Amino acid sequence: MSIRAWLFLLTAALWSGCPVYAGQLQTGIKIFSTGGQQVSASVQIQAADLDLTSVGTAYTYKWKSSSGVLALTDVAVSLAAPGYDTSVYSLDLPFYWDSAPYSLFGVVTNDPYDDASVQRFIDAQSIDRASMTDIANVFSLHERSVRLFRQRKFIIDQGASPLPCDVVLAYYVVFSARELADRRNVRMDQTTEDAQAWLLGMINKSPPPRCFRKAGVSAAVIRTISQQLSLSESTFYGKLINNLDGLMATDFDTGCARAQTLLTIISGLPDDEYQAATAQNAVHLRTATDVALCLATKFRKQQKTQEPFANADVVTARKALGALDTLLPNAQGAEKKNGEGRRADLQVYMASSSNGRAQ
Amino acid sequence: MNQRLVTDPFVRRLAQYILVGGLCGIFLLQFAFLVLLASRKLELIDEVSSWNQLPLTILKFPFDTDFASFSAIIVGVIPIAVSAVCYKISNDQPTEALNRTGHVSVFLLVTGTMTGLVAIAAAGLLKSDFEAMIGGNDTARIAIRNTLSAVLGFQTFYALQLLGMKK
Repeated sequence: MSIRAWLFLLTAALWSGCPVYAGQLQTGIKIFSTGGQQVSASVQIQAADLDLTSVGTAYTYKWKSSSGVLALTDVAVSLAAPGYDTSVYSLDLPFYWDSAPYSLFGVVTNDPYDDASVQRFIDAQSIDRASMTDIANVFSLHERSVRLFRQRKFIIDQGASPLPCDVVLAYYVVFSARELADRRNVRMDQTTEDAQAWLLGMINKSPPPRCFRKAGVSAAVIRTISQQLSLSESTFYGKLINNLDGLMATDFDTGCARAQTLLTIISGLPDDEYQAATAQNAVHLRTATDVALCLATKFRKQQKTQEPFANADVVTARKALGALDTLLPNAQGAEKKNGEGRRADLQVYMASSSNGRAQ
Repeated sequence: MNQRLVTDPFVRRLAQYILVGGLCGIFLLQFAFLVLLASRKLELIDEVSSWNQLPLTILKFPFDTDFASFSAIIVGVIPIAVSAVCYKISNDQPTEALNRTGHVSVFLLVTGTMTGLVAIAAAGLLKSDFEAMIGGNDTARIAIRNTLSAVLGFQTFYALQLLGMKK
């Protein structure tokens, strides 16, 4: 065996021992052409935090940083046919998607939006549990109903009276948005927000408008979906921290690196997003507690070997302690107890360190 | 043919039925469009069915295809051609006095003219609802508007002819 072959085997062996922060996205395209025109299109994915490689309809990705927690991913459809609308959406790709391939769909459609066509679209849809199991159907339902609702809402805003089918259309928009947020972390688009506001506006009227009463859509269901949509961001961050806890149990160092990234992301969120993402600060508190645990563990090891603490770690530790100081007074139960314990541990190491005491 | 319309009782009666039936049909179409538009504005439509859409489909038809325009012209010409059946007959010759068919025709034409005017005005005033019905389809909007205008023109012309105001 040549030296080159030995080197190759050695490299492969070294690589096999390292965790691979990578995953795969399967893409698909759904085309709804009323004119019977042959249309070809493909899904394009972009994410600044990922190295993406397209292989046929699949995209393989690698995290640019092993401490990456979530990557804002834009999905669009490239199409060279006039008269069609294509789906464009953004989603938060979480680190735990590394474990399995996830499928994303693009939709191309030219559904007409006159009264009769909208009614036909409504009549043809089925949103039972069986059909919604296939994520492709959810993407199709969402993108088609979003497009139709956008056009219908424009005409309604110009003075046209809404029909019961418009209410059902808006319901489909929010229903499918909730499914996509839950299953693919798809961010809510402007049309979904409009549909949600429009439906809630109707529900809050007493009595609700005739078109709503005739649509047969339950006000309670709309309130529930709307609430779930409002909480979708905090639900997503909650899943992130749950998965981070799981990762820390199996791969402590990587889990810690990612927890620190998450803490940085949460700390940098604008006020309105912060409230939506942290669910009354619960996610922030758990992340800060995890980071305190990580850094206390790291500092303990470094203290034993008399290795100085890295400045970056000290900065992060201060950030975690600051968050704990702010959040713990309002916390309760096990979260509070756990947080206080981790804060005390970390404070001990920070106090004993020369650069930790500084500032 | 024109002579048979005067002398042959069967042909004459048949032509009278076709004429009144045709004028009734045109009037009903205008009226149905008006009712559909008003129902939409007043949110009285629970579910859009093929029946809701029938007046729009028929109104679109004459200006939808080349062949359809031709058939629409033929349909418009027939009442003019059979107008002899609207007058009383004396010595096997039509007089200038209107018979019962003539009176019914005038009534349908005048009512139709009024309805047509209101329908065209409503299509303009309730533009958003009209747009929603046809989904912003310009071709359909122009076709429907043209048909309504053409029908109005035909009704006015024919009414004036029957009333002897246009020779």
